[in-house]
Amino acid sequence: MNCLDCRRALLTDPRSEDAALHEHLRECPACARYAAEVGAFETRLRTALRVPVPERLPERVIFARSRGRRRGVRWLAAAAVLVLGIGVGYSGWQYLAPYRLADDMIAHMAKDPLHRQAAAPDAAAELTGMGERLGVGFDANLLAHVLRARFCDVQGKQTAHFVFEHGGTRVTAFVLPDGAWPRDVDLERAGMRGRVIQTRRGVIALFCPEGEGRQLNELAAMLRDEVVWQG
Amino acid sequence: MNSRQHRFDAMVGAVADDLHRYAVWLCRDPSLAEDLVQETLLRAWRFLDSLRDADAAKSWLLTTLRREHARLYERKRFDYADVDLGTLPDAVAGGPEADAETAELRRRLFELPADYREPLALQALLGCSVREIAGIVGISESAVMTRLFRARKQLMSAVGAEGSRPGREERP
Repeated sequence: MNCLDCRRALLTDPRSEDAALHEHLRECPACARYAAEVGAFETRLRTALRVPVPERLPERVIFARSRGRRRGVRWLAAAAVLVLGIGVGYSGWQYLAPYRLADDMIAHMAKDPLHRQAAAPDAAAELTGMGERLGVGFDANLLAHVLRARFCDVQGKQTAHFVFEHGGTRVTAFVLPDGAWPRDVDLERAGMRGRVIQTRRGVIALFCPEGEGRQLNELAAMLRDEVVWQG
Repeated sequence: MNSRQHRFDAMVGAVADDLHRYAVWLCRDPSLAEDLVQETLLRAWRFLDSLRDADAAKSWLLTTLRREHARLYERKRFDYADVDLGTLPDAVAGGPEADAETAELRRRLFELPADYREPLALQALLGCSVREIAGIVGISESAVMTRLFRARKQLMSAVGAEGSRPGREERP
C-alpha cells in the first residue's frame, strides 16, 4: 500500500482494521501522523453528529404506539356502536312497521269508508277477482259474507280492501301481499280496534269499531284459514 | 406488560436516539426527524416478530426511516425552515470551546451534499459497514467508499483539520 492508498483508506474508514493499512502506518511516520489527525477528527465528527435528541423520545414513541392502539380500540368501539345502532334501528323499524301499516289503513278507511257503505251485490265476485290478481284465494264462507270490496293502494301496494259481516258487526279487512315482520299486533286507534296478522306470504289486517271488537282475535284466526295464498 | 410490548419497549429504548440523529442529518429538520422516528418505530411494531435479529433490525429500521423520508417527498415538497443546527445545545460536547468547534463542524455537515452527509452519518454515527450502507442507500460499495472519502476530505479541509500531507512530505 502506498501513501495515497493509505490516505484514501483512512478517509474512507478511519476504524478500518485492514492489515495492509496498519502495516503501512507502522512503516510511514507521515501517514501515521495523518492517521492520528483523522482519528482526532473522527472523534470531533462523532460528537458533532450526535445532535441533541428530544427529551424522553423513547417514552413518547411508546406512548404514541399505545395511543394508536387505543385509537384502534376506539374505532372498534365506534364500529360496534354503529352496528348496534343499525341493529336497534332495524329492530325498531321492524317493531313499528305493523303499527305504521295499521295507521295507514285506518287513514285510508277514513277517506274510503267502505264499512259505512251499503252492501254491493257483486262484492263477492269483486273480491274473487282481486284475489286472482293478488294470488290469493278466499274461502266460500268468507265470500258469502262480503258486503263491499275494492282494490286500493296502501303504502304503495295493491291491496284488497273489503268489508264483511260477522255476528251483526261490520268488519273491515285488508289483504296485502308481501308484507313481512315476525309477529302479529293488536292496536286501538281513532275509535277503531285492529289486529294485524302475518301469514305465509302477506298481511291480513282487520278493523272494527272499538266497542265491537271483542271477537277480533277469533275472526283473525278464521281469516288466516280462509285466505289462501296461491303459488 | 406482554413480551411483545416488552421487546418493543426495549428496542425503542435502544435505537430511538440514534434513529433520531440519523433522521436529523437526513432531513435537517429536528421536528420532521421526530415524526420520521415515530412513523418508523410504529411500523416496526407491526413487523416486530420478524425483527428478532439485532443486525437485521438495525438495517430494517434505517431503510424504513429512509423510505418514510422519501415518501414525504413523494407526497409533498416541504418548505424547510432554516434550522441552524450549529446553535442547538450540544448534549455531548463539554466546554464553550468544544461547543464552538462542534457548532462549526455541524454547520459544515449541514452544508455538505446529502449524498455525502448520509453515508457519513451512517458510518460515523451508527457504525454501519460499507456493505450495510450500500444496502441501506441502494448504491454500490465502491460508490459508498468514494462518498465517504470525499465527505471526510471536504470536512477536514473546511475546518482545517488536515495538517500533514502524507505522500508529499515523506514517502515510504
